[in-house]
This record gives sequence, C-alpha cells and structure tokens, in this order.
Amino acid sequence: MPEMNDPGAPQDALEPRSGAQPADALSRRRLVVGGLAAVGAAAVAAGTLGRAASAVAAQQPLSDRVVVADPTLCVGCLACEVNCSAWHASVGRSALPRIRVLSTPQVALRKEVAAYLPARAGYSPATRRQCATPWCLPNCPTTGLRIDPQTGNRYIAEADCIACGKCEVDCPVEWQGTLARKAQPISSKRVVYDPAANVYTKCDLCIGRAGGPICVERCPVNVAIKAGYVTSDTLCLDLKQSTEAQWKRLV
Amino acid sequence: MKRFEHTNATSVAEAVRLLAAQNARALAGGTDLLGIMKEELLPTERVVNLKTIPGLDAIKEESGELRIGALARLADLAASALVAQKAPALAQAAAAVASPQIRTMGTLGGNLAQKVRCWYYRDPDRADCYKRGGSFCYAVFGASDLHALFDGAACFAVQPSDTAVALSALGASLVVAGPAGQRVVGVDDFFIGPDVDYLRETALKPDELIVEVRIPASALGQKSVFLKAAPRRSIDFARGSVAALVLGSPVQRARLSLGAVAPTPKRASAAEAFLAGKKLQADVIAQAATLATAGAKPLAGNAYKVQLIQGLVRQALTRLAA
Repeated sequence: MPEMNDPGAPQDALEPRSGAQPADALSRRRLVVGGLAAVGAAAVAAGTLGRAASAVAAQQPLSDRVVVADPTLCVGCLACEVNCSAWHASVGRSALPRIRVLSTPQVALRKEVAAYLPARAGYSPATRRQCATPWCLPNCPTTGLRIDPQTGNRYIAEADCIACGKCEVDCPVEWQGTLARKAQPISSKRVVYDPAANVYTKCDLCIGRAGGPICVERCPVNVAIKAGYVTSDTLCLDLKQSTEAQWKRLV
Repeated sequence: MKRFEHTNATSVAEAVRLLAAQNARALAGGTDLLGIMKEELLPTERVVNLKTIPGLDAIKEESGELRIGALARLADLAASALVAQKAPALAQAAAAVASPQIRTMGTLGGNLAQKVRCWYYRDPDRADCYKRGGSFCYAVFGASDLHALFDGAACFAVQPSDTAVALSALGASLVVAGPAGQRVVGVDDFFIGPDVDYLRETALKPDELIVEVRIPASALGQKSVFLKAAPRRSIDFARGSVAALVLGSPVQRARLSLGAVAPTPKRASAAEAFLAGKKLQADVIAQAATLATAGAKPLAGNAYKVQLIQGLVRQALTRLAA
C-alpha cells in the first residue's frame, strides 16, 4: 500500500504508548477521577456507579463533526471501505474498515447518478456515529477511549486498548444485514473487535489526517458532484455538524 | 526505459535472494514485464532472469498430480498431449492466449502473475489511478467496457489471465518459493481483490516466485473446457471467458470459473451448486447460465458482459454434455 499518511500529522501525540496520556486529552480515568468530583458527591452519595457513569457520559461535549451518508447517491464502489482500511493501516492502526457498505436492494439511486450507472443501486454506506452521549467512554478501564478536547471527536487510541470489550457492551448502534463486499452477512456493534490487531476500533474521523475523513475525500460520487459531472445538492458521504437532534435522527 | 541491472539466476534460492532487492522484478518470457518497464508502471532497478534456472519448465504427471513448471511456455502447454488429455481446459486456455509469438515467449508463471490491462492503468496520463499508487478509479464514471461486473472495490480492473480461469476450474494449486521456503497456495487464494490490496493482483510477495502449478488427481482426465470471447480472435485479452469442469453424469460436482469479469477468476458458486445432481440438459444448462451471472453489478459500459458470460456458459456446458 502507498504511504498515505500526511506528513507532519502528529501521530505520536495522537497515539502515545500506554501510560503516556497527553495532558489535554479527556480520558476515562481523568473523567472518572475529575468527573466524579465535578459531577459530584451527589452521584457518589446515591451510591450507584451506573448513575455516575451515566453522568460522565452525558457530560461530554458533542463531536463537532460526523460522517453522514446519502444511500440514494451510493454506487457501491467500496472506495470508502477500501481507503478507510488502507489509510488506517498506513498509520499503524487496525486495518478494519470503520465504514461498511451494506447491500440494501430497496434503496433506489437518484436519477442524476442512475443516468450514468443504472445497475449500481441498492447500497447504503453505514457510518459510525459520534454519539451525543458516548456510553462507551465510562466503560473503558484504560486510556484507550478518548474525546478530543478541541473537536469532541470520540476515538480509540489503539496503543492503549486492552481489547476488554467493555466499550462494545453499551454501544447503542448496530450493523445488521449483508455487506456489499462479497455478500457477507454482518451483525455487530459499531465498535468492532479486530482479532488481527487485538484492539477495538471505531470511526475516528481519520484523526491526524490533514484532509479529514478519507472516505469523504475519495468517494468517486463526491468527486463527480464536486466536478459538476453529477448534479446534486448533497454529497454521497458528507462531513456534517454533529448535533444531538441529528444523531437521534440518524439512529 | 530507465537503466536497470540484469541478473541471471541459476537456482530458485538465488532468484529469491536476488528478488529481495528493492524494485527487483522477475523476468520469464518478458511479454508483460517489458511493457510495464517501458511504460514505467512499476519502478524497476533489477531484473532477475528466471529462464537460466534449470528444470522449471517440466510438464509431468507425478504423485497422481499433473505438475507443470512455472517456466513452461504457453505454446508448449497448448501443444502438450499430456495436458490435452489430462486437463483439456488448461491446454485450450494456453492456446487462447494472445498470439503465437507471445505464446512462444510467454510462460505459465508469467501469465498468472501479469498486471492488469485496464486502459486507465496503462495510460501514462492517469497517474492517480489506484493501481499506480493514486486515489481515483476513472472507470466508475468513465469508459468501463473492460471492467469488473463483480467484486470491484475502489478499483474495477479485471484479472486478464486466461490460464488462471482454467486452473481455477481445475482446482489447481501453486507452489510459491520465498525466503522461508516453499508454500502451496490454492489458485482461488492466490489471486486477491482490490479490497485486500489494490496495488497487487496476487498473493505473491516481492521476493517470491511461482515455481510449479499442480492440478489434483480428482480433476485429471475429467471433462473440462475453456472458452473465451475477445474482439479479435487472433490476439486479444478476453472480454469474458469461462472454464468448466464437470464430474459425473448426473453431475456429481461442477466447477465453473469466469474470467475478465472480476479482479480475480470468479467462481460461479450458485451455478455450481445448482448443477449438482442434475443432468446437463438444455433447461438445466440455461438456468445454470443465468445463475452464473447472479449478483453482477455492471458499470456504465460493461453490461454486455452479462449476456456474453451467459452465452459462454451455455456453450461450455453444452460441449461438456456431448
């Protein structure tokens, strides 16, 4: 695979070795320690760690961006999946795709795309959410799950992931159906275990990549729309502002 | 063409060692490699000549298998009475490759390890093609006549080898030599799709080479056939091809492999399963032909391949029924 990392991207700062928590990253440990103090005595007094965890999760800032898909523009080329895998592998992270294209025969293509590719209907890119309330975060016993303090991006620092699977337990979003890729069935949470790397993965919005999420950049339908080749007021894959209302709509 | 070092290997072990150098390429018949070097599609600093390795061109029956050295020339395969008798689909595929000149130079190993013929990949002005290390596939919205009906993933180039399709239907395996010794890989695992790595077509590592092809005893002497459709019969890459192996009547087991429609030889699994237990009658053949293209997702320019493949499957099974 070509080296697709962006020169100068602060990878070391993003994925320090275990124990080298960056000062400005919000980790579960800091949140539990600091969060309990801040959320407070009330939760402790109530005596339920579950409530404390809920409070910690509910307290987090929203991610400022989320990748949103428009299935009526998807031609199932899998450029998003393939590039997601390739880029993450090129920067030493799990090669599992964080976006999956599902086969959804009931979805019709918008006529502007169908004019070129009439037989390529029936796909839905399934992106991962940047949950308004990140239930995975308080479950993580290490510094693996993090929230970027500048952007609110929820991501997994794989170097700190111990693959305990606790993040997966409360993940509220699932992938169910058939993958476009070789018609394989899929049934999983959107925080997914990668046995090859022995870590859990989720969409990290390609954190550290100067151009932003590679799926959005490399989608050929997006390229065709931006070039004026296909007329559309939306993109197949778009990076949109993340709000709680939008997240609920997407789920 | 840029300057390069030319080295004659005298053994497989030496070839493996020489191929470990950066941008080293294995040279057999050279019918694909020289074009790639001239077009500068792959940086090449060292060429390792395999033709100087003795004993890699044998065609023989051994341990119940048909074993063919990777340096066996396509013309020799096409003319071999042993191959024609034991694995007719392979003899027919070798005879269908390109022109007499190319078959005289080209080898079985080279035919399996060749690069794709996508016109965007081969176009010097399309350096941003995925297979060139770029980030775009022109075929998705461009001219896609040559491209994949199945299993495209970012890149839609098809596997161009004719012999690969025959060997897939015959259930062959390849012996691959590398620094850690030799390993045996099934043909269907040897070819990899762009979802795995869009820069490569095969599981060969840069310092590995194919040394032998083995066709199992279960396929030897059985009915098999290879058919190819191309614009020019005298010299051309396939627009579609089919290889079929059928055991028994009624069919105990069938293997159907499709060429030039996917990034790898494409097994027609639904058609294979349908044929089991049935006699090759006209209605069965027609239904199997339809099933062979189940799941095809044409781009703008390659929908014709659906009918082409169905027609080839009908012809192939009709021949095997006779």
